[in-house]
Amino acid sequence: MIRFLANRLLGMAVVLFLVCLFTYVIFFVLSPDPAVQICGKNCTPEAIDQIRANLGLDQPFWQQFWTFLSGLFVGRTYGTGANAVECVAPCLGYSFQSSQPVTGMILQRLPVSATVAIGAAVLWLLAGVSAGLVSAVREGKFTDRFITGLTLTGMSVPNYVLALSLQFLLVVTLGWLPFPQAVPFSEDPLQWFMNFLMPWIVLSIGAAAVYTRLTRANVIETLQENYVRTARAKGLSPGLVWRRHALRPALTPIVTIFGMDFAGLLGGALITETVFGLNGVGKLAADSITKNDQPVIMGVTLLAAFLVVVGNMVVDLLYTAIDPRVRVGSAA
Amino acid sequence: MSEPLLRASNLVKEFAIRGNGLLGRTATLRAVDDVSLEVRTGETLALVGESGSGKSTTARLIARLIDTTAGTIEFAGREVHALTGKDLHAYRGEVQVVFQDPYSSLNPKHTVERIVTAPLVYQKRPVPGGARVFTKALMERVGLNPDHSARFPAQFSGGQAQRIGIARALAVSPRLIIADEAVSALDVSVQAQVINLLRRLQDEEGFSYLFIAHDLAVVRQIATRVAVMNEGRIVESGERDRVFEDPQDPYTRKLLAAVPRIRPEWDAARRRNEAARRERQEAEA
Amino acid sequence: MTGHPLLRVRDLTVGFTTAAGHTDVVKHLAFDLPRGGALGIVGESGSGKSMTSIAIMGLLPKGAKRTGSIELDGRELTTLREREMQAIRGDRIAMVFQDPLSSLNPYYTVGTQIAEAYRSHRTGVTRREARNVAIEAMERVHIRDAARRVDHYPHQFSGGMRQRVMIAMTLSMEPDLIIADEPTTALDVTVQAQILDLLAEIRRDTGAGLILITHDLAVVSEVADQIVVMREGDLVEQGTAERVFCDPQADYTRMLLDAVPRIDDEIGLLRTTSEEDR
Repeated sequence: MIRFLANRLLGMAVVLFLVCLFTYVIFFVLSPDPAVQICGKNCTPEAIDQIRANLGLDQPFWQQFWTFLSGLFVGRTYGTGANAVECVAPCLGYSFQSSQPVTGMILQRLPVSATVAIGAAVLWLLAGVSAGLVSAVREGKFTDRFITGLTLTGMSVPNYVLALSLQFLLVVTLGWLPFPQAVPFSEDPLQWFMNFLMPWIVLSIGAAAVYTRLTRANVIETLQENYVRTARAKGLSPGLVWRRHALRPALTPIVTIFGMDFAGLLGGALITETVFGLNGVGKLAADSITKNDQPVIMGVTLLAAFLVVVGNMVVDLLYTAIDPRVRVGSAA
Repeated sequence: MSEPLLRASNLVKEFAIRGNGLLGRTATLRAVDDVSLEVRTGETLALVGESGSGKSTTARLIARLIDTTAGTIEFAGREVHALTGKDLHAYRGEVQVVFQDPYSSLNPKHTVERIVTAPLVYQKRPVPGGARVFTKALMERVGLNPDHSARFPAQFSGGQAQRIGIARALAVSPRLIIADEAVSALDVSVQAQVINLLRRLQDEEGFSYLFIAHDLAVVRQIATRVAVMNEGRIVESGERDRVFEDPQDPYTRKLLAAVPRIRPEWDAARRRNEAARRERQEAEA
Repeated sequence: MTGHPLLRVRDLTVGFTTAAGHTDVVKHLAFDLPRGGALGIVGESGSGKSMTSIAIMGLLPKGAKRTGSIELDGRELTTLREREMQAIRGDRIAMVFQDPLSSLNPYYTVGTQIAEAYRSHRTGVTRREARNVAIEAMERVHIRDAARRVDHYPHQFSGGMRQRVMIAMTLSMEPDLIIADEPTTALDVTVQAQILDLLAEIRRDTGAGLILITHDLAVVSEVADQIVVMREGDLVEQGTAERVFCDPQADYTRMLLDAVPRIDDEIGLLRTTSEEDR
C-alpha cells in the first residue's frame, strides 16, 4: 500500500512538473515579450530593460524556469534593494494588468468556483444516477425511451445556449428568479441560493445526461453477469440481488469518472461563469485570456492541472478501497 | 534417421510482468523453460499440457509469432530466427497455424474466397488457376460445399468454420501445420470429423503437424509422438503408445489417471451389441 | 419412502418468441430423478440441456415461455409464485455453474457469498453464525485453512478452488437436489477429476440428488446412474447409464458414442464416423 502510494505520488509529481514546463514554454517563451506589454505606450528601452531585470527575463530559460518553480515552493523576490518585492509561496507571479499577486487573485475567486462545482456535481450525480437506474429497470419500456431521449437533448445543447435561454426564460420572461446579484451567503441565503441555481442547472444538465446513460448501461450490463444469476439461484430476494450484486459493481466505475469531472470543474467553469457574471476562476481565466495576462493564465492552467492530477489520485485511492481486485493482489 | 523437419533446441521464453506505476517492480515469468523438440516429416508431434504449461507459447515461438528469449529453432536445416525479408516470407508459407476459435481467427467481413487466398496474396504469389477455381478446389478438399465460396464465416457452423481455417492453412502448401487447440472448441461429433479430416489431409500431402492440445484422448487419436509439458518444461516425450501405456514421469501418470473414461467393458458390450444389430439387419435384408 | 420421485419433469417445453418467430429450445422433456440419484443430461451445443436446468430453477430470461410440469418431491413448481420459488432456490435446489470466476461476485469475500444463501433462508442469523456456516462449508469441500480463506476474495483463488467455493455455496443449506451445469468444463483435467470426486463424496454424505449437465460423455459415464440424451431440444434417449452406454437405441446416441475419442483405444473407432458434416 505504501509502495502504491509512493508510486502514485511520484507519478503525480512528474506529471505536474511536465505541465509546469510546457505551460512555461508556451506562455513565457513563445508569446510576445511581456516587458513591452507591461511597459505600455510611453516606453523607453531603458525602462524595458529595467522591467526585464525585475522579472528576471534577462536570464537564460532554465534559470527563469528554475526561479519560477522554486517560487512555487519557497517564494521569490522580484527586483533588488529598495525596490525588492517579496512574493510568498506559492508564488505564481504578478498580473501584468493589475499588478496583484496571481495566487491571491485565484484564491479570492476559488470559493465561487467551488460553490458552482459542488452544487452542480451534487445535482448531476443525483439526477444522473437516479434517472439511469429508472431507465435500467424499465429497459425498453416507454420511461426508458423517454429518459434516453432527454439525455440526447441534454448532451447536445451547448452550455451557453442553455445558460442564455434559462436566464431569459426564468429571469426576464417569467420572473421566477431575481436578477443575479453578488450576495454573500451570510447576508441573504435565499438570494445567494437563487444566484447559483441557474449555473448549477446549466452545468449539471450535460453531465447528468452522460451519467444517466452511463448508469443505465452499467446496470444493464451488470444484470447480465453470471454472478447475478448465481445470486438469484441462491434464492436471494430481487431487492437483495439488486442492492448487493447489481448496484455496487455497476456504480463503481461511475466513481472514477465523477472524481475526474468534479476536479476539472473546480478549476473553473469558463463559459458558465462568464455568462452568469460569476466572479470565479473560470471568469478570471476568460478575462486574462482576452488581455493576454500571461501570469494569470499560467496560474489558472496550473491550478486546473493540479486539481485534475489530484482528483485522479483520489479516484485511484477510492477505487482501491472499493474494488478488492485492486486492493488485494491475487495469491492463489 | 533422416534430418528432422523442425528442430527446436533449448527454447526459453520469458515474459516481463511490469508492476503499476513508475516504481513498479518487474518480475519475469519463464513461460517456456529449456524446451527441445523435433518434428519429423510426415509425423504428428502432440504437445500436451494443462493451462499455463507453456505449450501454446512454444507453438507461437515456433511459428515465429513471438521472439525467443534464448534457444534456436531450425526448420529444414535453417535457423528460423535469423530469417528476414523474403526468407521469412518463405518460412511463413512453409509453416501455417490453425487456431482454436475459428470465428475469431477468420475475418468476419471477408468471403471464404478472400480468406483462403489471403496467404498467397500477402506473399505476392500467384493464385494457381485463379481465385475462384483455387478456392473451390480447396473447399472440396476440406469437405466444404464449393458453391459456398462467396459466403462469410458467420454463415458456417463451428466445424465448417474450422475447415475454412484449415483450407487457409493448406492454400500455401505448407510443410508444417501448427494446430493450436484446433479441435478443442468443437462439439464431439464435429470434433471427430475434423480429426479425421486432419489425418486424411496428412496422408494425402505428407506434411507434419505440431498438435497443441490439452485433451489427451484427442491426442491419442492423432499423434505419432507425444511431448508432455508442465510448468514450461517437457517432462516426458516419446512414441505415442509408449507414453500412453507406459508413462515414466509422475506428472504424465497423474494426467493420464485424471482423464475421465467410458468403462472399457461398456464399450466392449456396445461393440458386441452393435455387431449383433448389424447381423440382424443383414438377415432381414 | 414417499411415493414421489425427488424430481419429476413432464412435458417440459421452453420457447422463445422473437421478431424472427417462435422457437422451442426444449421440447416435451420428461424424466424422473429418484431421491439420491444422479442424472446426467448430455448433449452438444444447442441441445437445450442448459436451458433445462435454468427452467427447473425458474430462472429463465425475460421472454422465455415455460410449459409442462416440474414436481419437486410431489410439489408442482411451475405454478408457484416468485416468492415461493425463491424459498426453494438455494434451499431445496442449488446450482453450480460452469465458469466459477464469473459466477462469483468479485466485490465480496467468498465467505459472504457462501453465507448469503443461509442468511436469506434462515431468520435471525448472526454474522458470526453465518461466518461459521461458511467456514464449515468450505471445510467440507476441502479448502484448507478455511478460517482464514473465508475472508478472501474470489480472484485470490485458483480455478479449481473457485469451483470448490461454488460447491460450498450450495452446501450451506443442505439441498435435496444439486444441479451442476458443466461444472468442470472450464477446468484442467487434473482439477476436473478432483471436482468430480468431490461431487460424488457430497452425494454420498448428504444423500442429495444430482443433475449433471455436460457435453462430455466420459464425464457423465463416471458420475451418473441415469442418462438423458438431448439434441436440439428433443429428448433422444434415456435410460440407466449402463443401458445407454452398452446398448444405445437412438442413432444419434450411437453416433455420439462413436465420436468420443478414447484415451485407451487405438485409432479406428473414430474411423467409423462419417467425416462429412451432417
